[in-house]
Amino acid sequence: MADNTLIITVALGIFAILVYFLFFKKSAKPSKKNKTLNLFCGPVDSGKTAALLHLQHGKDACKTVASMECNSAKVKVDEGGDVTANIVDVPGHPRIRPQLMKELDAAKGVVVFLDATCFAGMARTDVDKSQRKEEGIQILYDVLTHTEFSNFPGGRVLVACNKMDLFDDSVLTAPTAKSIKKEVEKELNIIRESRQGMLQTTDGADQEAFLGEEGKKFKMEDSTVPVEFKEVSVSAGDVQPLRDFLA
Amino acid sequence: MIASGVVFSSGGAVLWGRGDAEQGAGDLIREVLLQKGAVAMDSQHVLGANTWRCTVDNELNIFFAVACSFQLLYLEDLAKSFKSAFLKSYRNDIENNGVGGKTYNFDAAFDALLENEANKADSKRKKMRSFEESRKDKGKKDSGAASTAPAAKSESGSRIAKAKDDDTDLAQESDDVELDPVARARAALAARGGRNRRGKGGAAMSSPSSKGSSPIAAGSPSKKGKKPWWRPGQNGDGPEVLDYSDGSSLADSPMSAGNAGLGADGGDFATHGTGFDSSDDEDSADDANQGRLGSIFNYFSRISGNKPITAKDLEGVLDQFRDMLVSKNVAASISDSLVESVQNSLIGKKISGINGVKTAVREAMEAALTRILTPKQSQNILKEVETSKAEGRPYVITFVGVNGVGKSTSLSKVCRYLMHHGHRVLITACDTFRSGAVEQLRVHATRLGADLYEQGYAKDPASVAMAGVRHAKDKGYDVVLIDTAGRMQDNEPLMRALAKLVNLNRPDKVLFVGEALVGNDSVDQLQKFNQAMIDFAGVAEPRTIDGVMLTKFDTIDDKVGAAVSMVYTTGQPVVFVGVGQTYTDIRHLNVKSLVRALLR
Repeated sequence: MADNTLIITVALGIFAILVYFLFFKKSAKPSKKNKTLNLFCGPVDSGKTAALLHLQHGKDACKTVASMECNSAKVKVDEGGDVTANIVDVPGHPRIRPQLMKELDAAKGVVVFLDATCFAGMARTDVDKSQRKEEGIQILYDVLTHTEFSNFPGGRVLVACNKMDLFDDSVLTAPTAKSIKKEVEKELNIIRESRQGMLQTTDGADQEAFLGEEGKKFKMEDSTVPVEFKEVSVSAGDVQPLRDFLA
Repeated sequence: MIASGVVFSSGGAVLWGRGDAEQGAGDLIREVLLQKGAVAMDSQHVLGANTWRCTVDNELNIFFAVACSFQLLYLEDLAKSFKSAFLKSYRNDIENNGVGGKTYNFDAAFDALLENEANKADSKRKKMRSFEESRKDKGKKDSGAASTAPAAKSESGSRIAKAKDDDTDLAQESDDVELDPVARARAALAARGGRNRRGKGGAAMSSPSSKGSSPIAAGSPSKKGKKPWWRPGQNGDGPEVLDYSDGSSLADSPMSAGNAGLGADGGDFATHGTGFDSSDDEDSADDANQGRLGSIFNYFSRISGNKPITAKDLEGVLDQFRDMLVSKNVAASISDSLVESVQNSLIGKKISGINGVKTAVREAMEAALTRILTPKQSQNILKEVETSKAEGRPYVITFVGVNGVGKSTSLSKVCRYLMHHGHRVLITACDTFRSGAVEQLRVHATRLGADLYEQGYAKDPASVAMAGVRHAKDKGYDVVLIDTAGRMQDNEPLMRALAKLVNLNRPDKVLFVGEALVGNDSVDQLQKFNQAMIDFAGVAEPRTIDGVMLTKFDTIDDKVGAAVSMVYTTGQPVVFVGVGQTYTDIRHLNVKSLVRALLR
């Protein structure tokens, strides 16, 4: 008799464990407190997927093309080291922007890739480049005013000015991280003015945080999360600032 | 090289690529795949100098695209065999190692594939026959007469009879020689009784008594000449010949239990084919026992993630979603495209977990709708006005649309919004047709404190617009709002006038004003407006609609589908939404809440 009840209890226990794994294991959602992600974001063709593949595979990384979905991977921060980082590479196309907003909820570090060739003096006449420059700064604005991310005390932002290697042989003066930072600050102020003027949405949904302080011109130091500007070059393999940031 | 190909993952890694396809893959993604979604797999696309065809493996999320610089008839087959050949060689590798770490070598195999497909297409194409082999050489006088005889009224009957002769002869010769397609088709037509043939005199089917009866067998010469070809008053055949009321076939069988429809419990009759077919029930009862075990096995193998989704699994769920979208006022053709797009993106995918097909479809549908409604460039009107100001020219917005959608009211709302942010606005009255249009705008301008530029009625709208913009530039206005007359999309002269106005003045934004109440007509309106603006442009780079303004949004509850129809048809976003009839009732669109309302 006792054997019977023992067998039944064990069977029920196994059944319960089975049910748990079947039903509940797959539906784990990232909780709000669980911020472990590093995001790679930025306009199209700024080198986000290339950077991720470079960190993952080094020299073997294949060529890249515009992403349509996020890539997520766990990469070793330093070759041969032990520290790993969770990276999510969000596509840059504006139609996929809502995805970025969603991923920012669980982000602790954000790398915004900018194409440095868009900031060179010659780029003013190139329509595509100036569009991408504006998109990039727009993305930075969205990141800095995201209600969840901007209030997270451990959040950090790195603005990676990519494609610096394209200036090596050309006659164009390469923009430096400092000059890009100045230009970005100026644009952010313009965007701030126009965004404040924007109409409500049909649903009166979440308003974004205000950048900097009201009445005062925005400077990078005023941002609630620390922002750094660094030069990188993914195709030349010069990504040390990235590695330092992810560590 | 006839064609080039590229293989890339949805995350952006290129696994193999060559030639034009590799260069153009980025454009393909941006212009086609992100605009139309997975429904783009079903057709060819022309981008730049190349024609593209793509296909996808949903399990591995890998896209295969082939590009050719000229029209290739077998492009679709090429894409399909490209996909199967590549996956045959490398599927295991990809499943084990993921994508991104390796560029595969497929050059030689791709060349072999091209040759293979070209040979297959050649063999399918029939060789032209020599003169000796063809029909014409057989010296048939009847066929000569049939093709050259003038179709005089009295002769058409005999001609058709002669042609029948032809067919019978042809049929008899079928043993010795292979019938070429034309003759085969003729024989088939004769077999059907020539029901669809229309001679010059409106010759109808031969004998009225043979209506609905067995078709004339080809090769029965007794039929020749027997049928009176009915023509009014010809053989004295009058209406009596056509009188079928003497109780033949269909009329006499009374309503029997068989064809009365199916009775449900309670004695009500259901019409055939709305889904409670008793026959199906019988069948399913029969193999329920076999099926039950199979379906349980299927269910478990699906939730454990082993069995990929098939079209059959998706059918029922997709129909439900289609009906839901249509009930939310999304145009029928757009709902079909959306559902097809979701289907294409889910077939072959493996979903694991208890969540099941319905959740996967809901997520895919939500992603597709969000992608469609999100603008492809960030929208910031105020910033664009600032940019124009910096360049020293006014920012011009034109409002177009059909009659009665709210163009003038929306214009005044936008005017108030821009004035609120400190810009000087000039309203230009280019509706020179509707009575009271100019006066209406004058009232709005006075109440808002804006200025109005008008030249009265019956003037050419395009020149009024041009004069208005010039006036604005001279006097230093920041924004010009152009009001046009409402016009139906089918009205060619008015569409021409609109195209002339838009292409002559090249406004910064052409806003199509559409009401949220519109149903399937929204697709037609936008297509025809865009097409007219391209066709009647007269310039090398025609302007089309740049954005949609949705009006009367407060009158619909959650039947918000018109937004989706309009955005899908043009590819342009919803810029403003009008939510009432006063000056302050203007908003931006919240994509997330709209999608939620659609899928609720």
